[in-house]
Amino acid sequence: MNCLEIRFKILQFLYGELTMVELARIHEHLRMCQQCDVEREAIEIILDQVKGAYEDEPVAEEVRLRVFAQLDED
Amino acid sequence: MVAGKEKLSAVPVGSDEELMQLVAKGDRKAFDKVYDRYHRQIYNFIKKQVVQRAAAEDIMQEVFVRLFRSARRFDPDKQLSSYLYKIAVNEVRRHYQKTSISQGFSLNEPLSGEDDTRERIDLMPDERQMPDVQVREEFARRTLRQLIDRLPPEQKMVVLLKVYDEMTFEEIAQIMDRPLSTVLSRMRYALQKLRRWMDDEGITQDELPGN
Repeated sequence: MNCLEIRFKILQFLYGELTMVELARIHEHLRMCQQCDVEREAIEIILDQVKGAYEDEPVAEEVRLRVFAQLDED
Repeated sequence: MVAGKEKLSAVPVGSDEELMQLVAKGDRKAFDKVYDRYHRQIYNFIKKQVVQRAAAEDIMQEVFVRLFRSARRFDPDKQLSSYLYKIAVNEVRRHYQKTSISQGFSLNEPLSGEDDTRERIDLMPDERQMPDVQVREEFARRTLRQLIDRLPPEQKMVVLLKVYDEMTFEEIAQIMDRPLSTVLSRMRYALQKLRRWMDDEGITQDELPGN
């Protein structure tokens, strides 16, 4: 695999969504290519940061009542 | 044994499939159980997309009403969560179309209405009581949320479905009804933009919690 192919598949690589053969090939490429490995690390960092941006919020019970009220109107 | 009963007994009790069979017959209790099971995750998906709480609640209401009305068309071989997300994605898109923000997004465009800004500030803990490090972390998180809000809606949707709803790219492609290659390129573009904007804002890795 060349660097361009790696860039296209790096996201699937990070989430393990490739075949074992492809994962192994990319892993091998990253071991040899510092530029691609730096890119991988940068993507991992931004993904971690995005993960920390939000917290789950509770849902107002009123929404459930509104859903059932709308169904009653049918 | 009657053939119909035989078929029904093959469906695990309390499973999504059984509940949806009951919902299709108009069973409100079964529908309430489905709501209990999925309301939090669907609401939080919608809320991250549209930011404003009132809009998120309106969309949420529409999603579950549509689920009830379309229960007979639900394919039991498919996952209920995927079916719900698909309805939610379409409702969020409808919202963007109505509010005319799905096109012509620009960096200079306001992130959201004034009401949203007020809501966010109200939700913030009292920063005067927080240690400096927490203040910096909260500021960085808030700024990052604002940057995510600047992404084109379809890119934002891919990023949040991946990072928060932990779907595979294939699942996201199915839910959004887009080719896998489109989903992957939207994710790449979105992350590139976020990296650039975060550099511009001076947000470093150390400032965000959990790093």
